[in-house]
Amino acid sequence: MAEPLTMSKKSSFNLSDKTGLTYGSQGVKRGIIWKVDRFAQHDGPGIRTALYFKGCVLKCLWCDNPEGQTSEPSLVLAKTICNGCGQCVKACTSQALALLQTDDSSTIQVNRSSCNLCGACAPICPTGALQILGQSYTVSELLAILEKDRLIHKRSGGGLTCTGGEPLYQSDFLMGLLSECRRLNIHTAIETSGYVDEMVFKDVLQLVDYLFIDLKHIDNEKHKRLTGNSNARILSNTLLASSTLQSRDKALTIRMVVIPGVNDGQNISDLTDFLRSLPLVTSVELLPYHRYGVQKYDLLGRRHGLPEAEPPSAEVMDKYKKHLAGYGLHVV
Amino acid sequence: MIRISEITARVPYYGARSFYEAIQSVCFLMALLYIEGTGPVYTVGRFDSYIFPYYQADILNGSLTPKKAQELIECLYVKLTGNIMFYSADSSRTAPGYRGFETISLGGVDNKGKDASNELSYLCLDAAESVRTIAPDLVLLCHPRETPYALKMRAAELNALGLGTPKFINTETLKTELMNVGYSAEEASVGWVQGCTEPYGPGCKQYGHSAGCNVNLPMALEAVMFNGRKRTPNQSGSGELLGVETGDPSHFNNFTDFMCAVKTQIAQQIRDGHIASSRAEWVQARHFPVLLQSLFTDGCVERGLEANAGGAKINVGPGIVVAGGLATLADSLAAMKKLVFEEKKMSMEELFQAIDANFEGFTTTREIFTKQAPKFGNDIDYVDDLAREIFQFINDEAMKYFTPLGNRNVASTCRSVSNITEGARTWATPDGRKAGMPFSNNIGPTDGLDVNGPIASINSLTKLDFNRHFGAIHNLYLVNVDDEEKIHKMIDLIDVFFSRGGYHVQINCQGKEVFIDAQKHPEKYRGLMVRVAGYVAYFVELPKELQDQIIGRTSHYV
Repeated sequence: MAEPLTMSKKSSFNLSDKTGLTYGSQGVKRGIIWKVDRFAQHDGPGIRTALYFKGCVLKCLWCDNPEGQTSEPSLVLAKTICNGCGQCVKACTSQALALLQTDDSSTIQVNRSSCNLCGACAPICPTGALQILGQSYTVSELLAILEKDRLIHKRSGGGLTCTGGEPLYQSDFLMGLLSECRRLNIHTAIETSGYVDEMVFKDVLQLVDYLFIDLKHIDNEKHKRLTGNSNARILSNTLLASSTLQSRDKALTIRMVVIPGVNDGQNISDLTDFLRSLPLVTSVELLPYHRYGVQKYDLLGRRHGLPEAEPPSAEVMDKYKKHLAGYGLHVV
Repeated sequence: MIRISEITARVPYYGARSFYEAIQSVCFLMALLYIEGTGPVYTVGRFDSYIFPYYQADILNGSLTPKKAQELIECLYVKLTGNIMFYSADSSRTAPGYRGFETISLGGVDNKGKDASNELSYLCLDAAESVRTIAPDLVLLCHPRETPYALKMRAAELNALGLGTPKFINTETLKTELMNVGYSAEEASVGWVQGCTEPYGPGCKQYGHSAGCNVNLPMALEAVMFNGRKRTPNQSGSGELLGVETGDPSHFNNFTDFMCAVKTQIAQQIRDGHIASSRAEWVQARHFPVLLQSLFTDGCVERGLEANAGGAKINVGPGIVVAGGLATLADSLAAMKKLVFEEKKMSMEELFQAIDANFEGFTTTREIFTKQAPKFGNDIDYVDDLAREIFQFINDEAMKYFTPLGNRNVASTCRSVSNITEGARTWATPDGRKAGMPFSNNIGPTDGLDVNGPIASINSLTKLDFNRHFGAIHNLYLVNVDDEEKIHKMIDLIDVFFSRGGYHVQINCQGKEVFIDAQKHPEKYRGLMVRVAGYVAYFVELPKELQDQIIGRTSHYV
């Protein structure tokens, strides 16, 4: 079992124990993972084990995994489950928790700016309402999990999928993991935004069997407004991936979440043009925006960036898919 | 009509000459066995194997078409559904749904280990899809290497339709289990399944696991907590002595001693159960001859002894039946080991008070025990190893005994839904289960607590050594299986379960909202079938508490 992570909020994610094996040039020994899905079915071929990495440079307004955005662990409070027993308030080392009592109920208030994420509260919470998302794992701890799932991977043609957050945010750790997987003949896939240094990206491309790139918007100005960052690096990396993978037995799937009024319409035509300019794309996936992530913002004490956004209708999705397919792209 | 009268005048006495006559023979024989029998659980056996020669001959001489054959099989299914057993009120609560538990085993391998499936195997599955009756209970005998993918595919398609049939059995584990009770390897490879999950071979007589004695695992904990006594409902403290006096629970200062006491109580239950069921076996041998059954059981005629008196070639003792609750016990032990003995978050006295009060007024204690300890079914060795240890202990204890007729005793986990009936008479347990609530069902994890997906759940289960057990049901609830790709994934899951040594898996695929709607509008769902335990029943004919328990099972989205 991995140990729960304890670290100061300001520290960078790559500080941890000094005794583990060293992978990569910067001596990163532990990765921070916020979820391990042992039965993932939509992120690559077969039945897969998906690791959700912490940390992402992009801050997409509609992100459905906001717990993956920050590099440090996240404190989650589900007020609906909390019974107001107040044990966490006593355990808190930074006076960030307070018990708010009214006549008929008592609830916990979190002051997130003073919380130091020490992790003392979550293990003693009797109801499981308080949780720390983000545990540190060594590569060998993750390989032990993959070993348990090896039979189903081999039987179903599955393997490991690294997603997030942004798995390349912890690129040294990721490469250590991917090279071990290669040695042990485990099929690997990563799902990335493509927002990463070109040199790092090249190295990762050598190690991965299946690549998903999630594009957000083709128009750079709109991209900046929606995600806080330029898309120049993303588009050039997509081109790089497409050219590199072309010569090998690997796959590249481009994904885009379609949000009505945000990145549909003209953007779909731009996307088509962009994809047609690439040397090779295995498949394209248009995913309808969904609102399942909205309530997660409450748990994290944050506000959703696009509270009014609604899922697109099935007809609209169908129209866009047909449009892409009309240009000879393989749409799934 | 004339044809019917000709055939019925001939079989079974003069022997069947055609496929039609063979089917009619089976039909008569099953009805007659039920008229004679002392209990349910007669099996139609490996139907596709022994009927195939008749089918093949008739197809070759042109007197039969596959379509006509399927129609006759469908007629047989309808007739078998009509055989209703009469149960005592108590028994009907452990196996609700009007079932006689007659199984038809399909596929499997022959005595040389070669695939034995044929066209009839597929026709039998097609017939089940067409008539949708709850009898017979179809079993697919799956050999890890021999059984064709197409057959597994057809079986999985039926399951995906929500019919809950067929169930899947691993022939390799089945073979080992049969060899444990005295079969040669060759005979054991042609074994099949009788009733819910019990292994069965040629010339076998089991003193009905339906007659075997229940072992109530969580009750062992109750006995340790109350110094060998039953906790009396509605008043504080303990009542009649039911187990061994293992002393005041607060005296246990390490987990090993505590575990030892739990095992002592289980051993006592197995011993008592063995004595009671041996008595039943003896009474049956003296007073209930089954002559017709003896005619069809190898060994009886040769020895001149009828089946109930021990005439069969291989006799298996009445056995010890685990009434579910293995996960409830393992979860409880893990919680106590971690929170009381290792982390010392709570003293034994505090735990005792909470249990004695059925957690009334101890909500926080209950939540700590529910939430802060690892649960069986998540691929966590800490708790899985405890389940493994208990499971091994039950097998070893049960196999120590022989009955008065000299039969080997074995333990199995097949008692359909006794986790509800036994749960109703068992006091609160340290996993947070309140008094009277159901246990975990059969061999599976506690409902809703296996949260790491089906692979982790399968990994946990297959840590148990099924080779020394005698049949163990596992229910898997998969929802959203609506296209071919997902059916492939279902087969992947079954294959992984079997390659890790699993024995029996059965699958529910019906969405929960369908069941909930059926509770509100039963008249719309007369034909809705559901996999209960070792058998299928019409959902609307089940009692409410069982319906709720089926809805509460952990479901995995595929």
